Amino acid sequence: MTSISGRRFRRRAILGGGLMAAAGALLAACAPAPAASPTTAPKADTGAASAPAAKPAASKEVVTLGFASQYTGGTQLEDDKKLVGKFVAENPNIKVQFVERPAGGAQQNHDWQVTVYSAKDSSLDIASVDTGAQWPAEFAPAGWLEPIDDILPKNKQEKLMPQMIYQATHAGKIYALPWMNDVGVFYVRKDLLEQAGKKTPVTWQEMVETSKAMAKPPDMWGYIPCYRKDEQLTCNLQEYWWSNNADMTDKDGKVTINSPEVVDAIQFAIDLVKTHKITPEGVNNLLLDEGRQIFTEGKAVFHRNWGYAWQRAQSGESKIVGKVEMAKIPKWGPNGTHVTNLGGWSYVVHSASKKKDESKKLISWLGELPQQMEKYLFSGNPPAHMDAYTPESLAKYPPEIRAFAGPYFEVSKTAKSRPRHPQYREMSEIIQNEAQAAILGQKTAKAACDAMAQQLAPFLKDWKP
Amino acid sequence: MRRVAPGRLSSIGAPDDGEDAFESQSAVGRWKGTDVATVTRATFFTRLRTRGLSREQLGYLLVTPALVLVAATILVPMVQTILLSMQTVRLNLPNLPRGFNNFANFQQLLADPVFWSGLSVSALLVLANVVVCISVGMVVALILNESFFGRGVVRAAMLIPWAMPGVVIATLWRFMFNDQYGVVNDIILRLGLVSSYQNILGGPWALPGVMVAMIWRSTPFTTFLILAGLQTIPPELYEAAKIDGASGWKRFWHVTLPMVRSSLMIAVIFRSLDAFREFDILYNLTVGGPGVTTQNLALYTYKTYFAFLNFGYGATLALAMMLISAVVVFFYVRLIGLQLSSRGEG
Repeated sequence: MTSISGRRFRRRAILGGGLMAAAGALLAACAPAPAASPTTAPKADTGAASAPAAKPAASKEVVTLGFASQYTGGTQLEDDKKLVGKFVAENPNIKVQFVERPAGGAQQNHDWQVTVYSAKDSSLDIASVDTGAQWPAEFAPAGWLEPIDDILPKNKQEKLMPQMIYQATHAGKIYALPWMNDVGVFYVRKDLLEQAGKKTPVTWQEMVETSKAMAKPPDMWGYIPCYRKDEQLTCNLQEYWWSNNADMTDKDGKVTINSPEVVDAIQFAIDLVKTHKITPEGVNNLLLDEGRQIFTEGKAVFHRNWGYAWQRAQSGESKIVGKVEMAKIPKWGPNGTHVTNLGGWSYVVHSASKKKDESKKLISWLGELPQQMEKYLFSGNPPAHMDAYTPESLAKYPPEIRAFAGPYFEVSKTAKSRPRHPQYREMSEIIQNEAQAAILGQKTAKAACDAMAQQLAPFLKDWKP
Repeated sequence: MRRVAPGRLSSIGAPDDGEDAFESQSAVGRWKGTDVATVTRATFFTRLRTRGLSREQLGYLLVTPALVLVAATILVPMVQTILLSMQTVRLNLPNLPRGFNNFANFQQLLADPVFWSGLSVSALLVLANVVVCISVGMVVALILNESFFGRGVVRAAMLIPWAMPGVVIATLWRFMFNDQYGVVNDIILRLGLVSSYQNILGGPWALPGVMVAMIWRSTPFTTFLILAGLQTIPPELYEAAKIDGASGWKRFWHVTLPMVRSSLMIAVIFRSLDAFREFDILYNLTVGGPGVTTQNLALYTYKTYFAFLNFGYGATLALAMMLISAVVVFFYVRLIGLQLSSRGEG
């Protein structure tokens, strides 16, 4: 019996040992990939693979840049690769790999970039950041971005939208090169206004008057903003109080979020829904694009949205093709200012990159006028280069783009940047929470603003705009 | 304590022994006349080679891979979270001093109104989910337990809400609750419950709206858990009860309920913990809005970690969630008397 059971034991020992080894191998295989490459395998694609036969006497070694495109798929990504391919063709010692990143909205893009930067992963050299949402203000103090002052001498800086350069600046250095200019636009149904014999409103109060005369809810609303609990709400509210010459702080850093102007602005947002009834209640929860759909269904006279909505209104299933006009965001009474909230995207160079000079060369090239215009034509994202809007440049666009670009540029001249605070996201959340509580009627506008001031105080201590 | 003759000790752990593990344990005290200390002094590998493994040793060996996996995926992150919660770590401020911060995060937690509102939202969600899912699940399970034409199809169809991803469900319900053209508004208008279309998800009814979506998605889960328990009830009990003159309700109360008690308890525990953790439906329906009226702790923890990049405080919140879940389970186990195996009663 000993021999039989002895064999069984040894079989068991082998079985046990084998299982342990298999588990160990499994763990090793499943262990996270070394921190050097948290990104998924970069797609090797240099666009113009037809880089001409190596130029003789190419003494520089070939470097490969990791480029995170704004686009994660589709024709826009292909066109982006073609554009970058032109640079590769002109620079035989530089190749570009397009780094894959998870598809999804700006938040996913942000989280992915934070992960890569925190890991100091040098495989990412160039990325695009949402300058409007103050990513440079967040990333630059953390030391994740490389200053690019050397490729932006004064004459080049002046060609780019000044507010975007402002957003890209931190502690006196520039960290981002703007390529997309995204501002809020006040869309107007000019056909309805003509029918009713009214003019495009210049002030918010005029807009309310016109809307009340023309609105017939729920078939025809007056004004559609977006008050959903994300950055859209803060953008809309900022436009109200900026147009009243107020802001979160004054220029010395004193907290003015509970100043009467801001309280009036919040009250105005509430009144649009509750008192004047020209805005549907559902804007609290509607996605930005769902609000746009109400407008392109022909059910609203005025709409505030970003530049992309123009193209939606002029094509596809829109019922208002040819009936829309773009205008500046109204100001607050005769002493107010026309202001619009500035979004937009810029190229940045990762501070942990090992090929900074080549990266800067690439983004400098991408920031030049011909490249910005080309990117505009294939992506529909308006360029940040101001010369792309001169009459000569406008003449080069197809008519439907020309119809947009000219008026859009006029609106974007009134652009204003959000506060350049590293924790802007958290501050925005506080504003959203309190403002929605006021919109819901849970607190008065004054109480909400005081709560905002109290919660924002720790962030705004020792901070100047 | 059975004293085993030395000659038999060489077959410790043999499969056909007839001895079970408990008995052989008592025999391990002596091995070939030497004591345990001497046994352990003999090298592990010598014994492996010559004797094979004892039942206990083999057991430990086979369990080790699973233990390593559990340690790596559960224990290590848990310890890291506990350590993080005692530090001030903000990913986008990498130059902040690290190190123990005197429980500042915990003080902040206790004083944080958003935490307490998140806790009350979570509690309300759990309460609504458990009450409705269990009661509706019970009713539907009783129906599905009867045999009727098309029962197989109905059972399969019942599973669809459970199988859909949370994002799809949230998008679906957002369209249905829409204040301009939503189906739900249409129905309640026609039923005369309201006089005009209501702003459901953007107003005071946001939390009930969210609860409806969650309950719609989770009732199949509780239904099938309870159904599984119902199917173990022997029909003779019902027949006996009928003969004794018990009415339908009495049969339910005295026969069905005690027999499915364990399935019910499992359903309650699972439902409670899942509802407490709910994230994807909330995130896509309302993002916690309006204000913070539908923001539960899971959503708040996510925002703190990934939107604000405040890893220290996020870890504190995660720890709080873990402790609250532990308290809930403790409550169920001790006070209500969880019985995981059903002893036939009544």
